[in-house]
Amino acid sequence: MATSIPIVRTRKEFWELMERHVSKTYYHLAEETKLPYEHNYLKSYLIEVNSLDPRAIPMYIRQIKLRQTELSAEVIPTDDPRLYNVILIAKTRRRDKTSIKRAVFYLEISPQSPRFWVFHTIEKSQTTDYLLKHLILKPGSKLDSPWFSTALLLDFSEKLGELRGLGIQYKYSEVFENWFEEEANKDKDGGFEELPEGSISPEDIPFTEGIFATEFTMRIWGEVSWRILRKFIEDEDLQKLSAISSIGIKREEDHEKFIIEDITFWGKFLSRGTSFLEHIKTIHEIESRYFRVLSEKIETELLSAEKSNFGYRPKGSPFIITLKNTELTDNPKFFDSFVNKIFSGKPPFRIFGIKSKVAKDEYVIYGTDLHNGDPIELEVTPEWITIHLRSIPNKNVCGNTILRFLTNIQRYYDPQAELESEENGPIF
Amino acid sequence: MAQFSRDISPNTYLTNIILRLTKWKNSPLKSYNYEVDIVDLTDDIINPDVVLTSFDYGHSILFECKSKSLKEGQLKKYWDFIQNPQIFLRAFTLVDYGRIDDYYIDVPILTQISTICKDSRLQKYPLPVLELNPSTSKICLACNDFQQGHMYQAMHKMFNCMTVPAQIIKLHTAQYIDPHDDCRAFVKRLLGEAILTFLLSQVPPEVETKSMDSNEKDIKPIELEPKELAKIMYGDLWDLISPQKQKQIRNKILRVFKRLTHRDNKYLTGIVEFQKGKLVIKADISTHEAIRKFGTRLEASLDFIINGVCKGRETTIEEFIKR
Repeated sequence: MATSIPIVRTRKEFWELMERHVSKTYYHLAEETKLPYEHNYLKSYLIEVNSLDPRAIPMYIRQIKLRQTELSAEVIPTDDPRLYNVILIAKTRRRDKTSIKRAVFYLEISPQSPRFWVFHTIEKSQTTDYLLKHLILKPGSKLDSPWFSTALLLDFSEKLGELRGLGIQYKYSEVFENWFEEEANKDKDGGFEELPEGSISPEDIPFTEGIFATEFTMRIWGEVSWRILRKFIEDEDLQKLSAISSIGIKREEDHEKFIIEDITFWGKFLSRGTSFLEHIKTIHEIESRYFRVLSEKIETELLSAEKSNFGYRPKGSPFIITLKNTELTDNPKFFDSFVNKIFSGKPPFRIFGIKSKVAKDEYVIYGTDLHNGDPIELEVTPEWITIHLRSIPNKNVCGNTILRFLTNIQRYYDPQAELESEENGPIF
Repeated sequence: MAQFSRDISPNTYLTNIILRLTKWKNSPLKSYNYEVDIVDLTDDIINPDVVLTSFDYGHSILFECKSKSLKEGQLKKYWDFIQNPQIFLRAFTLVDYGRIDDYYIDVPILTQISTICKDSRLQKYPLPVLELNPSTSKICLACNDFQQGHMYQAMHKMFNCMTVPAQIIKLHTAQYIDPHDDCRAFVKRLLGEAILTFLLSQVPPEVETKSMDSNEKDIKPIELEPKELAKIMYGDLWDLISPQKQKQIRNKILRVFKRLTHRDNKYLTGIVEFQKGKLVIKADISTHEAIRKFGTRLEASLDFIINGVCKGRETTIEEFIKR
């Protein structure tokens, strides 16, 4: 299906298109409380890049091989070398039917650091999420999302504007689903009384024995968000579920010029308001804050070495994730499954590792981050996980690996997990 | 009761306890600005395993990690260093040091062997012994004493009994792993990290799907050289390792290659070959799932590889603690 989204030739055209679009979005929502057909929110995706020229995207994307889908791209430059039109296309064939997903993105290379790109689009989320996911998730990809942990999202909500929305997604059961089934089946084999006919089917009841919570999802928009957030921060039980997946903030220059942003944990910004400039400022501030964490607190700590007389002088230190969820301590039988699931190489963690059981409650993982091909070593216990990331000559070992791992641990196992450098203390 | 083995040797374990303790954010050593000055990369017995130096306080601590018996020649050498610390300073420390007049050194022996203080050679050369007890998470001065000097009280304050945090006392990995002494860790790092990291660096993989509906693929073999994998395993350290040691590492990788491609290794039949000192991989690595599957085959081969290339019985944790 052809798209009517325009191609821009100059930065001025791009800017006018975006200004017009965010204002229109806000007007429709304020006046009509809904968006008209085929008018979508402005979405911007912050992407972390490891030396890739935007003009190479078509060649790069053609190399992504999927079983039934063929990906292609077209890159159209503008008068500004930091701004490109990027058209991504996915052609999927199932039996005799072919479907096409196509979207126009406006790619901006960050003025602050070429390490970050922003893909803006005014097309449907469903299509744009799908297309960008394939561009980013290629094995050994040079692209990654930023990973905003709960602490980072809270920091953004405090520093960048008024909190206007909150999303929480604790998805424990998504990763550990089979583990429940295995445990439930064990109980069944053990001769537990079967449910009488007509009762709720066992499949409807998640296995929760010894598990604090299997899933929690909450979405709130409005001025009450901050009061709700405070309850989650203060309540001991709610803290254990508070894997913050998105925040909504309102940012304004004055009453006339403002933007309302919904920012997800993987760097997607959904916007409406009256000022595109405020939107861009929000993205750049978040990018700067994220970049500072990466470059000043993580990548300076990568394990490296310098020459010293009859040996070497070690540089850097490991990172420690302290787990507050006591489930693995309380139920040691889950520990092996936990390690096998997380380091299987499957999403969302995508770390494959040789799992070496060195004590009844400790594993060493000799692994590779399949996102970016960085080698990673971890010592895993029910109480803490130590992460060793080595600096490799002629390879950009990326601190994003640490933040992705932490964010996923928070989301799928322990929202209260905390990250620190063994040498310099807390990262956030 | 299940028996678990360490992947690293007791000596590597002790050395890394000191390295991690020195850098740890709450380390008492930090109060006196001790920094890791040198970690030994030679097999030379006269070199201490780790040297910590406080340039502010004019003092170095030379740790000799002992997991086996003491060697008299070594003790004598360290005793000589203590008598003439300037020799050590001039010979070994790199930083231009101004307070040479009151500079001195201590040479403690760090060990987990609880009986080492009974060794009579420690009366002749009374070097202080620091005993590590993993079950109490403490390092305590077990016998002899530190040198009389301006850091005497500080040394007692730090080492009479130092509590080691859990993530350090339970450490099982190290930046530098020896191809022989830490053989199990070496093989696991090679299979779990270096090979997959190298394969991922070859993206875009030369894999062409013949058609969208076909699973059939033309796969171009990927060649792995020992040196390339060693660089991934050792990072920045690779260029600091002596040529002789580098050769040992490359040879060990070659032995792993041969074992991986051994006809009895059923997990990789038809996928890997050994050709002219290289490992040739003919596997699809175009998707996450394909890489994961290849990694799973490497993992399945692990025991077969370790049995072939890591000679000698490993030290169990129980034996390690009892020593």
